[in-house]
Formats: sequence, structure tokens, C-alpha cells
Amino acid sequence: MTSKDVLIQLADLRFRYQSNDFDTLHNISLTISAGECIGLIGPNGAGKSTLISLITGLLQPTAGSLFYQQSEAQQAFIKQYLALVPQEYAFYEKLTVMQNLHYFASLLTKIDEKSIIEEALTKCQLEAVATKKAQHLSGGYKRRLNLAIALLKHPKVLILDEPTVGIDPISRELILTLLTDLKQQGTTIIYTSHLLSEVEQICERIYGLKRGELININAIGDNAPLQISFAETISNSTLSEISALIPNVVKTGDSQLTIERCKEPLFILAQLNQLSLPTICEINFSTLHLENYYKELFTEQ
Amino acid sequence: MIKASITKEFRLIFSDLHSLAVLFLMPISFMLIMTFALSNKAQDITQSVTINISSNSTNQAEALLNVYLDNAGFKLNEAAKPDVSLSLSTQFEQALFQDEPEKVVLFSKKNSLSPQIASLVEQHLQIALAKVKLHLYLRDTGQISESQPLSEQIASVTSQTDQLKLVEFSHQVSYQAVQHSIPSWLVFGVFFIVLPISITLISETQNGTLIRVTTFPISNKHYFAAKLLAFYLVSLAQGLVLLVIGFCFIPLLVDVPSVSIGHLIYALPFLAITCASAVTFGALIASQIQTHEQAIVVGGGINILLAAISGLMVPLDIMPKAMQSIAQLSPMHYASSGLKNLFISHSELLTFNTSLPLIVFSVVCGVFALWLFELKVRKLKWK
Repeated sequence: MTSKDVLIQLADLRFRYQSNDFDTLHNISLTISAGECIGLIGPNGAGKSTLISLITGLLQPTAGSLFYQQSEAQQAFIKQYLALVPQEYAFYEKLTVMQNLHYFASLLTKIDEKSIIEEALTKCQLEAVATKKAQHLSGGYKRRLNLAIALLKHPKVLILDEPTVGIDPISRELILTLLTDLKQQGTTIIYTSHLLSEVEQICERIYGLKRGELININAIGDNAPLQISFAETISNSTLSEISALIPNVVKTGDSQLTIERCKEPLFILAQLNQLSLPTICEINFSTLHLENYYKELFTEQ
Repeated sequence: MIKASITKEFRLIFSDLHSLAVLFLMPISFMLIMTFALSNKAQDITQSVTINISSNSTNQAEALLNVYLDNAGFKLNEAAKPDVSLSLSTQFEQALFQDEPEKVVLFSKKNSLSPQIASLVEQHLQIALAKVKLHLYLRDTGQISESQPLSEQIASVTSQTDQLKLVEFSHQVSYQAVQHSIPSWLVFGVFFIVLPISITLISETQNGTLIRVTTFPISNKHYFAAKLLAFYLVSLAQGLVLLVIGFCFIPLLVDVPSVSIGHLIYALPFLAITCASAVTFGALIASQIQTHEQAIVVGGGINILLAAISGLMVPLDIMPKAMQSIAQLSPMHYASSGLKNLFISHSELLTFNTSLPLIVFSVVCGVFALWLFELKVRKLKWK
């Protein structure tokens, strides 16, 4: 990644609401590059909305810096390159799909209004309902319209808040495919959702917010357990032999051992190979499902 | 962008039956209802009042009083429970000619009779008593003869009282109430633009549209100003429709002098000023309202209060001086006064004393509304 690719940089960002005597966010540092998809997860009240409000310029940080393409010219970047897809249907229900797109396109400058509207209609597959009033659309089409309005800007950064909540699988698939395409075309995506499977599916980097701190979930994923099943029962002497060589070994069954917080599974397997152990019949090393991490991280909140 | 904004606001309002009802149906209904309610002539009012007259004796004066009250239109001695009861003492006739007469007529009324009607009956009673006195005097002096038919005697007395050609009226005295009420309800309706403005802003805030707009290449002030311009045109359209209906058509229904459509052109500059004050005032309130419930209670409530203190509901000139002074603070007062000038006197010129306060009010409200909207946007937070 070159510095030229960096689109948004948050450096030691701190934010405190005037009514609070504590920081809602503290020491947030994050670098977001072109074409990246960043997942932001956390329970309600963890500070996600505040962080997005800071990135979108709705709030100003109490301390720290925000850079947009290495510049602090926040408003210029936001107004030109950043688009939002709020969780609510942020359009006019009593206007048709086309009228909505026309109106929001009219807020843009120096654009070929007709072509960008057609492009947004096509991308979000809204042609069939273009003349329908938004209030008569299904939930899936409303979500697509919500996204289509954001795409009118051809944004460099697209921020989405639960863009697939409450919709049918076809619309959901379409939106996720569209986001994957946009990512491949270089659009940076910041994605917040409680549907963790979606976040896992499209985001390369996932961050959780806990008590105002940003936690890199991918890093936690590196510490997954290594589970080894043997063909025979593991005796206590064998277990002692293994424990002397490898830390964090727990017997999880008559013939099963689990090495917790395993950072380097291949190295561990190589070490086990040096011992005369019963035949290994199964090795299971899978990163914990995001949902488990989520529970582990946020249960106490 | 401005064209798209105007088109959007027109589409939103004209697809919303509630907004249309507030902007058009409500003021037109008010104008019609109040016009018919106030179009009753004095004769029609007296005909609905029942009076019973009782006395212990029979004399000429009592008989004449009956005749004069009957001529005024009252229903005499017909009801078991009359609106007004007059009890005449035996000294009634003598008392008419005393320098310091005793009180010989006991006036009592039903509790349910309105003070205005009771006052009207009192006035008619005083006039009837004066006519009886004149009648008896003219008989005594031989100017009318007892041998004449009573109708001729009464005509002779009436000709000397009711038809004195001593006063020349520079204005049309009939139907003034209607001519006052139509401009008042028109202004009341125009100021209800506050509801569509508030409802649009609340929806945009609640559904995230306003947050979305902050990421578009348009400043908050420009966005709000374009919205106000759109609502201003909506308000002008509303005002024009109400002006045509209220000034040209409704008067025809009650035989009141109407304003010709051609003459309405002179009302347009003042209508434009009135609409500007209504829209900027609506924007000022809308910029502070957070929910639909607040829009109805605050927006609607403030309008009703302003209408009350501005003399739209009760004529200003019958209010106490203090209330009249308070009315000077209300834009509705200047707007309705200006339109009344145009309607009643068919004035063709904008009057300085009604236009200037409205222009100043519009500018102040507009500036504050823009500032408060900017503050509102700054407080927006991603949900």
C-alpha cells in the first residue's frame, strides 16, 4: 500500500459529547485505503455511529486528526467523494424511483444527469420499477433505491449502515454482489451491520468497537484454537510430555487435545511430530466464527 | 437544482391529501362558513328574537311600543319562554314625558341569549321608546291625527327618524363583517404553510435524507434556501387560489360586492409579501420542531394564537387597547389589514404601514431560519 492509496486516515482520534464526562471514542487510529472494505461491528451504543459521524463530518473530533487523501480538507472530500447509505429509507416515499433519482442527481454539479441516473438504475436493477412511487416498492427495492441514490455520486468512499436489513434473499444477494463489484472497481466501503455473516463475506478487515476503543477482529482471529484428535486414548504421561513442549494444551476428550490461542499451527504440528504419539486422525484449525468472537468480545457490555 | 427542488416540493405537497386539505380546503371552508354565518342582515337577526311584553294596564304608549317593536322585526308575545321579557309599569306613559323619569320598563332576558343580541334588543327598545314618545308628541301637537290609519301615523313618525338624510357614508355599510372575515381567513390559511414545511423537514431529518444531503456538493444554506423558495411558490399558488375564491366568487354567493379578477392584479404584490412572511415564519418554526406531533401542536397552535391576537377571530376594533397593541406585533395583523384595504376599499396601492412591517418580519425570520437550520444540521448524528 502506498501513501497515495490511503483515502482516509484517523490518527489518535478522541471524541467526547458535551453532556458526558467520559470519552465516547478514544485513541482511534485507522488507515483506510482505496478499494478496501472495512467492517465495523459492535453492540448498540458502542460508538459506531459516533465514529461514522466523525468520518462523515457530522461531528468534529475532540482531539486527534482526520485526513482525507492526506489532506484535512474534510468537507471538500466528503461532498465530492463520499456517499452514505443510511439504515432508514433516506428518500422521498411519495416520489417515484425516477423522480427521487432526478432530485438527488440535481444536487450534484457538473454531471451528465441522464447517464448517471441510467447507470444507477441498471446497477441496482431498478428499471422495472422506475415509474413506481417509492412507497409502493417492496423492502428489497427500497434498499436498492437507497443504494442507487448513493451511487449517483460515483463515490470513492461508500458508507453503508445495515443495507440489507429486512429484505429478501434475491435483493440481498444483488446488493452484496454489487458491493463486491464496487470494491473491485476501487470503491472503498465502510460497512456496519449486525448481520455478521455479511460482514465476514465482503470485508477484508473487521473492527469491533468496545468501550470506545477500536479492536482489530482479524488479529483476534489469528489466535484460534488447534484441535487434534488421535486414534487412541491419550495417557497422562503423553499429555505431560506434550505440555512440556507446547504451552496452552488442554485435554478436551479421551483422545482429543486442544491447543488454545495457537498462533502458529504448522510450527506446533512440527513439534508434535518429534514426539512418539498415537496416530493423528484429525486436525481442526479453523478461525472462530465471527459470531463467537462477537459474543466473546461484547458479552460483558 | 432550484427547479428540481421546486418540482419536488410541488409533487410532495400535491400528492399529500393532508397538506392539500390544510392549505386549500381548510381556509376555503372557513371563508365559506364565516361568510354565511356573518351575512345575516339585522332584520334577519331580529326576526329570530322573541319578546313578550306584559303590563298591568292598557294605554296608547304600550300599544305603540308593541307596533314599533313589531316593525323592527321581533316576534312579539308568541313564545312561552321568550328570549326577552319586558314588563311595563302602570306609569309607563306618564314616565315618557318626565324630565327625570322613573324606571318603568323591566328588561329581563334568557341566560342563553348572547350579549351581542341582548345589546341589539336594548338598542331597538330605546329606539322604539323614542318613537313612541315622538308619536305621542306629534299627536298632542296635532301634527298627526288619531283619525289617520295607524300605519300612516307610523309612516309619518318613521319618516322623521329612520330616513334622516343628514349623513353621507363614504363606505359601503352593508356586509362589512363578510368583507373583514374573508381576508382574515385567507391570511390564516396562508400561514398554515408552516405544517407542510415542518412535516417535510421532520421526515428528511428522521429518515436520514438530511444527513445524506450533507454529503452532496451543496451547502446547507443553499439547500434550505432552495427549499424555502419552493415553498414560497407553493404558498403563492395557494394564496392566489384563495384570493380568487375569496375575493371574486364567495362574495357573489351572499350578494356582497366582489373584486373583479382583473382588479386582483393589484393585490398580487401584497400577496407576495404576505406569502414571504408566512413561509419564512413557517421555516423559523419548522427549523426547531423535532416531531410530527410538535408540528401539529406548535405549528398549528402558534397560528391559532396569532390569529386570535391579530383580530382575525374577533374584530380588532372591539378589543381593549392593550390587545390592539399586542396585535401590532403579529404579522397576521398586517397581512389581514393590507388585504382588507384591497378588498373593501379596492385600493390599488401597497400601503407602507402594512407592507413594511411584513417585509422586515420576512427578512428577520428568513435570516434566523437559515441560521437555526444550519445549527440543526450541525446537531445531526448518524443513527
